[in-house]
Amino acid sequence: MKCISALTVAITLAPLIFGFSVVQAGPPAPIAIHSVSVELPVSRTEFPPGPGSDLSGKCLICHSASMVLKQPALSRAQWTAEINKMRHTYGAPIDDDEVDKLSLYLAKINADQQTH
Amino acid sequence: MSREGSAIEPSRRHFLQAAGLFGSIGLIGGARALGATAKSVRLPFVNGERELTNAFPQKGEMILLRTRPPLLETPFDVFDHGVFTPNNRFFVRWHLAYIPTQIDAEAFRLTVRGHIGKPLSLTLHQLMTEFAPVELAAVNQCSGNSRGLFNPRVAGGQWANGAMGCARWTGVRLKDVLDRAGVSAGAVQVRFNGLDTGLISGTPDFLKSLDIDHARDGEVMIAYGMNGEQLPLLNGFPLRLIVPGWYSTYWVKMLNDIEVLDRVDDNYWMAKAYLVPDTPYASVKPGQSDFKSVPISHMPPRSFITNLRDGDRVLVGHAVHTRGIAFGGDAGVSKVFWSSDGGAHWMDAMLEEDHGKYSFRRWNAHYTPSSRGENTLMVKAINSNGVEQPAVPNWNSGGFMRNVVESIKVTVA
Repeated sequence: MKCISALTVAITLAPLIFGFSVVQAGPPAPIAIHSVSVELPVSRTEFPPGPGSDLSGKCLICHSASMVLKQPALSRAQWTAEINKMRHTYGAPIDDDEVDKLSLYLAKINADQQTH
Repeated sequence: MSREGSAIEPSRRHFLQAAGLFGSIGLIGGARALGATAKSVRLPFVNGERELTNAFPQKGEMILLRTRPPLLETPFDVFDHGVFTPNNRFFVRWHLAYIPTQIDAEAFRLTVRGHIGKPLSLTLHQLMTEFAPVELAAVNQCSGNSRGLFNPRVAGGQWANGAMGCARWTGVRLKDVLDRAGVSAGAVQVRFNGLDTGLISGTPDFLKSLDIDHARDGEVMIAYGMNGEQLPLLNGFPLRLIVPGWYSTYWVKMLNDIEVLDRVDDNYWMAKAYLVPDTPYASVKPGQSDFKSVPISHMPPRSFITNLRDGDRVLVGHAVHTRGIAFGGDAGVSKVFWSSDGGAHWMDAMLEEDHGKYSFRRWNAHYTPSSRGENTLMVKAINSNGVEQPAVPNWNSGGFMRNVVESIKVTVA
């Protein structure tokens, strides 16, 4: 866990008495706010090998592999629909002639995940 | 059955917790083998293997669903520890791949613009000192919480029941900030944006909107505090919109821009995503298409048993202290009922302290199994609007708004 609380500034809330009415009887306790600098972990999960896996890197532009690998059983038609949603809604740079190959690959690895 | 907690901890630890906390002799152990490792869990659906991770900043042990952008689920045993979910165990859900990892509290600004009299650019210090502070206990629940339990299954984030939490939120009323800006006549909605963005140009920025009257109801908040501290970055530091009683999709994280609109927002995240059937419980039949869809909004009630789990063993004739949490959604918890015969008979549970209508509320019951064999325990909540959890699970293709009556099976020995 990398959390370097840089403490650029500490703003302490001056308790204000007036106008407080939501839940508690008194004003909320002061809260100190500090600047934050963190590092997010890098995914260690990779797409499995197989025909079409060369295209899976395009999925990784926006999300790690587990988004795909943790899905329930989906048909090839459903994978095609997901790929087209990524292309047309989110702008994934997947060409027309890549959709068939990628959907076949995703349907295959997805089926392999449904063993337990 | 419908709880992911079953595999999270070795059963022995669970047993010791249960025995220690209740002094109960009725509970004699769990279903899992002793000494099971705690580094992964199996959620109760196919392809439910999950890693437990401590790798995320300002977060403790969480169930890893996706590393980037992060989807982290709260292990269910956390909900047995109290009404308020600790910040470092609170679930995490981001849509877009770019999330700032450094935020300078002094340089940060919240802008208010659009259909208003006077644009604002507020520092955190201004927000915290120039507006009246308010505090509210409220449940934050993902629209797709429990999606993995849908049958038939649906695509999307495969959560069990841990994409929810309850915190004390400290901040200011959105109404007060809007009043400072001076909302113009003809304002229709208020749109909220955070610092996160997509990484490619085609990705629609994550924007959510509320109707102007909702935004000005005096309950919707801009929070800078969560359980008495600043928010963890992954829960939205430095500011998060709090929309009490509504699903988390509206609780925009890293909120830095508020735009008052003179029209209904037609951006992707309002017009195309997070839509639910406009039917009771947002429920339709798989394949059904003759229904109207509307943006998801307020939450219905839910309740859970937190100290017993599927497969636990109990002793005939001995009382077991049973407890859990309930929430009413957009209204307070009115009643919690529990059953030990699969729902044939229901009894009143005792409700603990009320932390406000939007909060989790603890319930307790004494369960004395009368005959050996398998026993189905159930719990259901009714909120103060009279809305009751349904006996049958809802279904929709988005996997949204599950709130069926929960049940677990225990073995009476």
